[in-house]
Amino acid sequence: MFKSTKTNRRTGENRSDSGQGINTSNHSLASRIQSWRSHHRLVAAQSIRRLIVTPISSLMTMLVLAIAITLPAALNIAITNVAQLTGQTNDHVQMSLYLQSGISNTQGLKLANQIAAWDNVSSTRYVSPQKAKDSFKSMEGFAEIIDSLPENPLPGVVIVIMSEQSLTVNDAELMRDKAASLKKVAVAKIDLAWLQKLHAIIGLAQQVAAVLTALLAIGVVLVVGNTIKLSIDNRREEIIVTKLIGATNAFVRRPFLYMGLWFGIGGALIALILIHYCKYALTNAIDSLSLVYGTDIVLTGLGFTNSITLVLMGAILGWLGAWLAASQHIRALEPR
Amino acid sequence: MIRFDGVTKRYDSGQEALSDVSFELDAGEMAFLTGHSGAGKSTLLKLIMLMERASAGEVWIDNQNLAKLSKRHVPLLRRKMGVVHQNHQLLFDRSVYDNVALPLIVAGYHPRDIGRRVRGALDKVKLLHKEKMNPQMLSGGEQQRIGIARAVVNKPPFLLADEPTGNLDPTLSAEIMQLFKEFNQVGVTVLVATHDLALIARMHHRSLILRDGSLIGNGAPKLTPNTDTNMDDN
Repeated sequence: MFKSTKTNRRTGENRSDSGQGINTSNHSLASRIQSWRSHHRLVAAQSIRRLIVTPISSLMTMLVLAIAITLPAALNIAITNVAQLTGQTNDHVQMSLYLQSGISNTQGLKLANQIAAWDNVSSTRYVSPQKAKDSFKSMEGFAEIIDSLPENPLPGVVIVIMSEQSLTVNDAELMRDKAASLKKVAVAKIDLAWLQKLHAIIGLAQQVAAVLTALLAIGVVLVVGNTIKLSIDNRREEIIVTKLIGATNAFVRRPFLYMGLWFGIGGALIALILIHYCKYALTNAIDSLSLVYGTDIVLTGLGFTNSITLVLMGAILGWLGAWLAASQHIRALEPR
Repeated sequence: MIRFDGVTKRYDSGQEALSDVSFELDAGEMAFLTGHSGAGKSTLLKLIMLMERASAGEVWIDNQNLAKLSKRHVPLLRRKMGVVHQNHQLLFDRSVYDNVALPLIVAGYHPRDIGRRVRGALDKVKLLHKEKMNPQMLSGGEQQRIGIARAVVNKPPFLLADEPTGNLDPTLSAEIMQLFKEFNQVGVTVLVATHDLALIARMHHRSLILRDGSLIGNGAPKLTPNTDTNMDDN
């Protein structure tokens, strides 16, 4: 444009040809979309570069976010693991009926079938004295003791699995009394109190984790929001000049939204590393613990899906924090 | 076209910056806006740029009543105006090229067109060879020319300038005025706020004269005006 007087004259003619002439939007929709996309790419890359230019402060912000993300995530993982460790007894409440000695396997099976028809019972299982002895033998240190006994001291057992949902403590105790009054039953045992306590504790822990998750999510939003606000303050002049040139609020907001997004994703990725490191460190400790107790405890980590979810949540929270800060502060920054 | 219809601007402080100002600037016209500092020149320009809104009366740009313009449409109107500020308003965190490209990026031009237009505009102000430099490294006159390149890069129908020669020596001022004249010759409506009366005298264009917020002159100056009084006669 304006390259020589000749061009000038030609441009002038073009202008008069098109009536209004000098048009700021003489480009097609397709080319607008293309330029919009290229602007997004540009802004995304520029906002990353801005973070890299100030590596320490960017990293500090991301670390704060990472800690805020790691805490609830780790707590949730811990609860999952505890729940899993107690899983088998946790899902169902179980009652053990130790039978009188001299009850035959046929009688025991019959009793088990009979009790299976009771209310609030989901299933029953008969364990013969021989089977009980075998399972004892398979346990560490018991084999020699069992073998040294002259005869099998173990009674037959009917294991009653109760349907938990409909069960109150009262119901369970009534059932225990009913079972104990049966002639064939020597002792009826139920580990209800312990289970209910554990349930309550896990439930409470889950609630605490939920509240903590919500609070720290708000924390992430606020930290990102505050960082973005500072960044907007630093680029005040640029924002005003850009607005004067005809930038929309969305245009001005864009780099800050990307910055928030990168903060969120960066924080979540660091959190993933922290969580995996914690799991690794704990696995070593738990492995030596399992060795001592002769049991096999496997720690559950985040897993692939949950890792993706965590990064996604980080991205959303970062974006949200940036959006809240940017839309509020950028609207207020009008050229005066 | 730019039209003011009985425009009054009263600031929140109670100060009346403009009182009942009416004038019309046709499309393709070039005019000066003059008066003492504090006479309301900047306020008048700010009303056109939508940095301020009129307290009373109507401002019309390109057949649009600015009072009825929604916030959403403000950026679109601003893209029709190239503005040259006294203090350049250049961004020192980026190159000359990137400064001039900004209006095109804001308006959503295709990346392919941007380079061509930016270089064209820089060539026009004879600073093409400095496109990679930071504006901070340039002289005041050069910075002003970068500001002009940025103002015209998207070929806006309106060009507004607020004291564009305020800090420049007479030779540079004349050069910059010549640039404005050239833009006007290709159809751009140009309004230049200045208190450089000698310059106005040489240019033979219409002058809008403000005093204490009122328009007291609206016409072409005499050939040898050197004082306010002479211009008041017009």
